[in-house]
Amino acid sequence: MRRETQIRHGTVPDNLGGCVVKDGYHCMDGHQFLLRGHGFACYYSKGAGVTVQIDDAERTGELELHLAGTVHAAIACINGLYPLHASAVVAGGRVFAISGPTGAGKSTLAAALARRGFALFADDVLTIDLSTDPPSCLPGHKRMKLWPEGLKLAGAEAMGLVSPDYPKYFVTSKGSEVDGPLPLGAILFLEQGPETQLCALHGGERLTHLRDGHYTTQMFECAMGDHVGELFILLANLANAAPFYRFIRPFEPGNFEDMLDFIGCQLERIAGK
Amino acid sequence: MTAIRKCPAAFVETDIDDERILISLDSGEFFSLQGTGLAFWQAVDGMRDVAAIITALAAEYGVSAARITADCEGFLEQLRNFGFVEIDRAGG
Repeated sequence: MRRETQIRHGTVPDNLGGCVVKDGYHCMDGHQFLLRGHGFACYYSKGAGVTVQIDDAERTGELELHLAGTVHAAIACINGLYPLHASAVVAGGRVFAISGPTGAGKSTLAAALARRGFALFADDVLTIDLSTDPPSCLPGHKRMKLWPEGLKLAGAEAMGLVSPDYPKYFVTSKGSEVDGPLPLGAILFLEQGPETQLCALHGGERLTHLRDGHYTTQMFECAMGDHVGELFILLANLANAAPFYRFIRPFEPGNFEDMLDFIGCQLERIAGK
Repeated sequence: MTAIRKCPAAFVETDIDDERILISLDSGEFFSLQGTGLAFWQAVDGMRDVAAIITALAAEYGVSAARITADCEGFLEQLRNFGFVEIDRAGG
């Protein structure tokens, strides 16, 4: 992934295989990926790395956001790796993925756990190699982006605005020493609810949680093309490799530290099994 | 002869925990089988007809065949609709 995600500046095409990609859209075609934003664009070709074109310097933060998210996920897919829409921390030498839709609080929870001593492993996209047994997690981007309310909860310091149109902030992060592959400890799917609880997912529920609404899984399915059965077996292997949980908690800032106490203990418990 | 046989070109199956998960290669939908549904699926061996399968399941669960016939036939109809099984009427 390091080689494939190397960046150079240059001119990015406006089409992929003859199909024009408008600003605000992206397209994957075989071993290529094109993303065009407003004021920037990225093009990836397998073996040739990423070419970026910046037409509006004010959009550099947004470009960085896409490079760490959508583009990173696309590169993983094209190279046979599964990108889970998740931030991740390490406990007991294993990776705990915190997954959920945009705005669910993945980065905020990961940043807060990092403050409590859990090493940060990836933000926004966790890349998993499904070809190994058990599947192994590859370290990812660690420069976190948080919404203003997330900054306060996580006790993080704002470094700069991502974009005027996307008011997340880059945050200071000392990063972590974790720089090699680690086994998956568990996947936590974030939900909002009245009481803090961790509920184990069972059987087919695990697959539905991997598929439901995750743009990264849809991207992986697109990259796999007609290999529906092969994709199914890969995701089933992932589902069998580690426990999956629904992590339900209220969105009440006053209870955030109690919630952290709870989930920190649970991660230690699961990691110790 | 009306043996029921699976159509392996229509699905891929695997186990997660105690569930058998099938994906339709046509639609991409997947299905979870457990309990009696899984027992019925496992009994489809390409040799027996539905009556023989019902008799075997009734004996296994200690109930009368009449009690489970409607459920089994309904389930078989679902499996046929998804293309996961077919009834061999050719005398195979």
